[in-house]
Amino acid sequence: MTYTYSNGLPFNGGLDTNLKAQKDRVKKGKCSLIIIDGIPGEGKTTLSVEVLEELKGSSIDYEKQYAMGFNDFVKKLKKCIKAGLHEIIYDEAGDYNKRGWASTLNRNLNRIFEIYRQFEIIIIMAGPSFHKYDNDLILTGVPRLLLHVYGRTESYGKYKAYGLWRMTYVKMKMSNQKVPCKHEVYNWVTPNFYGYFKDLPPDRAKKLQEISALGKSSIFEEIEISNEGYLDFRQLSNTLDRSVDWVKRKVSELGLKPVKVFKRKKYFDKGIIGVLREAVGGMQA
Amino acid sequence: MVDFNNDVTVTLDKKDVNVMTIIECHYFAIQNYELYLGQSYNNMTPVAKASLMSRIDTLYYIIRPSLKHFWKKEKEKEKLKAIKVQILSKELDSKLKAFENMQDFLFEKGILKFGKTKKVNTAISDEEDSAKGL
Repeated sequence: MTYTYSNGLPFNGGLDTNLKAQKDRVKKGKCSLIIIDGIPGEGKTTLSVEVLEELKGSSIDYEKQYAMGFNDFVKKLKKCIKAGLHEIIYDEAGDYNKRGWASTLNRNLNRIFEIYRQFEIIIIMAGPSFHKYDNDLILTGVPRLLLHVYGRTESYGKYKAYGLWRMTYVKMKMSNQKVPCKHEVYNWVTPNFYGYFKDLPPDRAKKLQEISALGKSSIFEEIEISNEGYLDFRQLSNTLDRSVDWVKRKVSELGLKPVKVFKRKKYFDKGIIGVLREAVGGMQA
Repeated sequence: MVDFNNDVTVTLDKKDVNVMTIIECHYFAIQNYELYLGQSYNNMTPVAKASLMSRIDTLYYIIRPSLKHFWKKEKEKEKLKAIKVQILSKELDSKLKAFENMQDFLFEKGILKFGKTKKVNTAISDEEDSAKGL
């Protein structure tokens, strides 16, 4: 079984020519964001790795170039800048959406998208639905290529590609409330080009799956923390109207233990608020 | 249209003035042709015929240096000779043939061209976006 097409690449259909155009764009100091969308299991991560490797001309460095979620993305973007790498994958970008457009995350991400071009970096953003992305993102003109993946089989998948101009039409049609299935819009707007992409060789696919699963499990952890209503030092400080330092000191003095430690961050049960409130009351008395 | 007593015209690039002169002359010739046809269709004496013929002659003399400059191939040189013969003729029909040839030349040079004809390779999204001003 071969893992490349006759052009020697894991994808066909003119994607290589378009990626070259994006590379030239970035070299001219212009920004470029490639969005890969599709329902889960259609090969977003696989295609994003293939796209990155074509842009880079060598294998991906998972430590620096593969990020899952916003926090990881910001950290790895900095790593890429330091290491002089010009490509990065922002996988599981579902945390960036228009419903939370006013959130700190969206604002911060929009700011990153406005300034990152200076570093000649191409961001490959893979998420479940293009429809959910912040509208401001399209208005800024940062995304240059939208790759919609679909119809994946055991050995290959399909993609449809849209430039910024066509992307705006996709977005507009998706915004129509009368369209219940947003992915159907991809059948109505003619893509600039389309093609197929093959799976990664088994050993590489396995490695990617492991890395991806690891990232996804950390997302489960985050969901659990937010579901249970656990609080970190900052949130406790906001609730008690005291400084983070004060909260840390009191927690240490009272010998309170965190219920969870995740990514070196301590999380406490809601009950701790009452204990700390008493401490505040004692101080005031 | 081109007014040499106007300061704006004098400060314009001479190439632009020339183009405007050609467009103006072509426009006058068309106007005269319209007048001539109107008179002919109404069974009137076509008094506009003389002015039409002179307009075509004028257009020829305005663009003659350009024709000589751009038409250097053998076939083109023959075409230029034919136009010259047609212009020197006293017949309106032959002058109209010369007029058509001159129109073709002006179209080639983009002076009588209109409408967007730039082809964009839509298979390269960035090219299409650039053409759309994005």
